[in-house]
Amino acid sequence: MGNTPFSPIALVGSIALLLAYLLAAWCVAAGIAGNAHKSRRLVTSAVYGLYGFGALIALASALLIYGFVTHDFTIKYVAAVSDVNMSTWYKVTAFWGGLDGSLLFWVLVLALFSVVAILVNHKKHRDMMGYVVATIMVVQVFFLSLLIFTKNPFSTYLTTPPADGQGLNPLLQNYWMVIHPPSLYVGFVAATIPFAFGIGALASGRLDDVWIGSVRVWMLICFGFLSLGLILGGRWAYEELGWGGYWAWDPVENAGFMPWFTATAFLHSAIIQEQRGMMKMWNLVMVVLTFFLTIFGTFMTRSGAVQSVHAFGEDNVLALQFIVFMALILIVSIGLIVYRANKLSAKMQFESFYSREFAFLLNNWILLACAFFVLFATMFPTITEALDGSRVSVGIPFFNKWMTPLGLVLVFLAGAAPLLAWRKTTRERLIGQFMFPLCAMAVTVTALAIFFPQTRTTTAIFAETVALPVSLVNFGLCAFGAASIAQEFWRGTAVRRRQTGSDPVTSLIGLMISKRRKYGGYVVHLGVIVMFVGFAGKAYDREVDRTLQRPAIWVGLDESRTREERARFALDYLDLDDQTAEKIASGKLDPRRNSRDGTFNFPVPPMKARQPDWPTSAFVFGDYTFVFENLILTSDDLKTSVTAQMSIWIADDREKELDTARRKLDAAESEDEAKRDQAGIAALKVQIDELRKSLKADPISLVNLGDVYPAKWNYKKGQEPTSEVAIKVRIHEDVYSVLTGYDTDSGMANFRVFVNPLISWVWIGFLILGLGTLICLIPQSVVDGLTTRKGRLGNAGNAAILLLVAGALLAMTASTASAAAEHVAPGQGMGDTSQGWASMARPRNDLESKAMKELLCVCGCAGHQSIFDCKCKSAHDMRLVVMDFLSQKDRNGKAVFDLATADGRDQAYDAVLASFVTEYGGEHVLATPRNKMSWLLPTVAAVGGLGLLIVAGRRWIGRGKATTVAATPPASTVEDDQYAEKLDDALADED
Amino acid sequence: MQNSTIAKIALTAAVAVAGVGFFVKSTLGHSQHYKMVDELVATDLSSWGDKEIKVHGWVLAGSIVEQVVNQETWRTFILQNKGKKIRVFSSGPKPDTFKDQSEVVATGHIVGAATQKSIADQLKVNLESDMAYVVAAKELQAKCPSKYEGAQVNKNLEEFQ
Repeated sequence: MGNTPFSPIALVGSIALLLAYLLAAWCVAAGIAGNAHKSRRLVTSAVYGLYGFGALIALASALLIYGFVTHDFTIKYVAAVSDVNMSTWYKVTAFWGGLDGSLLFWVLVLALFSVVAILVNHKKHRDMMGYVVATIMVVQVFFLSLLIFTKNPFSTYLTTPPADGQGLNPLLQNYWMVIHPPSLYVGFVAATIPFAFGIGALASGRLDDVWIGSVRVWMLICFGFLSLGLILGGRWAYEELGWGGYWAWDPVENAGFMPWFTATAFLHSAIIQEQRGMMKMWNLVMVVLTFFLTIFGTFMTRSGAVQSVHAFGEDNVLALQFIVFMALILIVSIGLIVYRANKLSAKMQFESFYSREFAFLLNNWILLACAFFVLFATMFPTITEALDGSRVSVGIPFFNKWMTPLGLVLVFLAGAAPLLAWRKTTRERLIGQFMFPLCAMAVTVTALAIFFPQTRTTTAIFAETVALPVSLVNFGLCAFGAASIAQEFWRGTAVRRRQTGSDPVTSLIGLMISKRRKYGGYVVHLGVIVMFVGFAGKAYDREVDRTLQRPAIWVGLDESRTREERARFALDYLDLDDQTAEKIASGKLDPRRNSRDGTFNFPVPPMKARQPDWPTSAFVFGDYTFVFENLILTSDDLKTSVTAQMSIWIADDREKELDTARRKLDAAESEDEAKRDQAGIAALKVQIDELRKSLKADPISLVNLGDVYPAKWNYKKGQEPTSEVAIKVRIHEDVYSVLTGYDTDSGMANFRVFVNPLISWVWIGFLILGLGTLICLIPQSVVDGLTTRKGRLGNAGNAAILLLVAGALLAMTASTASAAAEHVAPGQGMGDTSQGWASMARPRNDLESKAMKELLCVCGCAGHQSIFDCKCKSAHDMRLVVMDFLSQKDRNGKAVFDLATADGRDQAYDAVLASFVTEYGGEHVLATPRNKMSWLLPTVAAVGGLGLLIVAGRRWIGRGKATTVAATPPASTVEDDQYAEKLDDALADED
Repeated sequence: MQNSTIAKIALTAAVAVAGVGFFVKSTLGHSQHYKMVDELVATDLSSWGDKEIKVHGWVLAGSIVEQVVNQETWRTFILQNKGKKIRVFSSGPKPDTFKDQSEVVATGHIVGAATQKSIADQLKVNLESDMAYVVAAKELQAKCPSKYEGAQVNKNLEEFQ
């Protein structure tokens, strides 16, 4: 081959794509002709063609990934978005890191989904299957033609390829980015399946209610993944972009949000069609619209039609191709709907405004309004520029002004709809059902308005002139919705208990498993309500910018000072333990900072509240005091980092206690003399006296909440530094700090600090929403398996759906648990010295071994190994530091740590970890970071809850059956019967 | 067609038209304008009022004055394009690439120069007599299209092709 680059991977990959293209074209033709001429053989050939297409695309994708992993830089795309230093994990991610690969990824996901969908449904919908396959394949042909003719990811260099690639943008080398784009894609792609079934039903004229059942599951999967993709995008923005928020109404976010609205609308209106035979045309329109919006969203972001932070740049050819395709979708869909209009008329009519179907209709209108509002506002800059050439845009406040009220109405409907009956709700039922939720709302609003006056602040909605106490309304509606759901669960469980005679927990879980669509839906609603509680916090977030001077400790312990000055400084201003203080006082330990590398020769404890340099190195913001402790410079294979160490303090409660005691005293003394509690008064006086003395002695007493380490990373290959934010998660608010600038010479640093109330509830709410979606998706065969105890799955299709559900669960688990992982895994490239270094500086005792296993190597070796396991030189050096640290001796030759006692060993262990955290500027050197573990809890709870649900459901269903057979059913009350009737009425066709 | 059906259609249309009208009016009230410095100074600067605006230009060399006052970093500089200039005041973070002659988009409001007098005094800057209006910026952005994924990927691809 000489110097001409040749890549077998690229060759085979290109051939696979071309073959797939031909096969797809055949499927389109065979599918349409097969159904039109009622030729079963043609339809079957189209179905098998679709399976073969899936295999070819899987092959092409595997080859591209292989190209990334083996650094095949003859492939231009591989060279453009990866380099040799990236970890394998990010090399796989690079598959969808650029435009070309993301298109192939799209085709791959659709291929896999369509294989599963056709496997599950091809026997059920034989007479429309040809059209369904053809529709899916038209979409595939479109994306494949983009791939093959303009964006081929397998195109190679004609001249000598580069020795190394460009690397992936650092902003994308982040855990959230590994899973956020694929989950959004999966959501987008899942919308194609309902669309294909919709077109299949229209083309074949089979517009009975059968197709809607198949479509609903896929729309639910679409909904679940879109939700996952959107929330992960929010989480990424929150952790990575450093502007303190999670949602900016950016065009790309909006592109994912628009189909989410229509998919949600469909999930509700489909129930009306199943229950009441209404809204057939509407449902088809929703299916088409959802699909159209996914394509439109892709067009918006990929063609450069709309300016965005993560748009893919302008590309007029691509824009034109998308416009033609979108026109085709609309013409065919609208044409077919008009053609079949006579078959789409409703069997029933609305009977009353106080009916569940009307509430659902209202919900659909509002969701549709949301989708169109977002569409219009996102396109507004493009529209105005096209009209009069002026460049204008609408900001976040404008979106919020409109979306907040619409969202609040949706929360109200989520609470109200389950309380209404189908057809119409009688007056008595209306009162009986709404009483408890309305009371809960009234109590919440009153309590908040009295005890938290800040909730009474009004905010403008729609227009400046219309102002409402939005927070108060929001919390009230959340209480209303939560109470309504709780009431539904309560009543449903009570009925089941009487019917089956089992205990409340078993009844509840059994109810959820057997009526999983209904109760799974309620769990989703609950998740949304919890998220709204989190959204409400946005109204109270605060931010501040401060420029601080590096603190006195740098000067106080500098080598240029005398030994005595250093000792005095350490004793005066550092929170030393008694032992260390004594050592310093007696001159056994010299608290010194090494001027060469800025490290201290002993583990530096946090500084005391009383500091000499607070006017320049600390500030108070809200309840918190922030102290700039240190500025640390480090570097590794890929980047140099500047990390600020900042301690966060919060005032203790003495002032509050004093205030309370004074009030109590006043109250006690105002009593009649005869009734006075003299002993109580004396005790209060003593308490007040003590508090006063204490406050006088130590006026600012603060409790340390721990340190945070915001940083800036300069990638060697990156263009701009990235900000690594530090978040202190508290249950009621996040303290979020960003290092916005620094000057290493003067020791000045700029910080931006946000206090974000209630934000954790957004993520917790999402976990609940995800759990609810999964409950809705549990296939019937699993429930059947539970009841027969054979655990056998019905067919391969159900197994595949289960696999998807498990995949979603895994993604959710990973997404939350991974918060413990650091943002970026450093790359490789440490040379071939592993054996040598690995065998040196091995631990000599259990303590050293334990500490080495807890500390992570910062060398850049793959997989974030501990220094105990890692084979590189850096690990060896770090092991030496650990050993030296643990065996250090003071001036008199006495060991600093007493390793003979368990306490001494614990102390030494903590000290060595603390010194590494200080040294490397963050807990990323620890195998188990302390402050982010909280994220594991909800996940474990969610997974555990699902497991419990299945186990207990199995138990319940078994017991329920036994009870019905063996025992006479317990006498039920009239009320129970009514409720059971309502339940059955509502759920007849849902399972 | 029945009367009730006509009434329903009319009512729906009326609500839709009113809604869209209100919405468009609301949008126009909230739109944020984007102007180059020369385009901006050609307008009547006193007419901007409360409207937020993005001003795009280049930092005049030697015009940046920055100082920390009570832990807050204040700065002022002159933004220029095609010979037209406007002074900008801002506090807080600045883009990493912010320096003389760098390309900047300042987001903020157009205010009378007199309102910034006290800050100018602290920064020891004399306000130009010919600039009656200045930009009070709440955010400065570097105009750097290569910052984000796609743009960079496309650029990389173009370079290779």
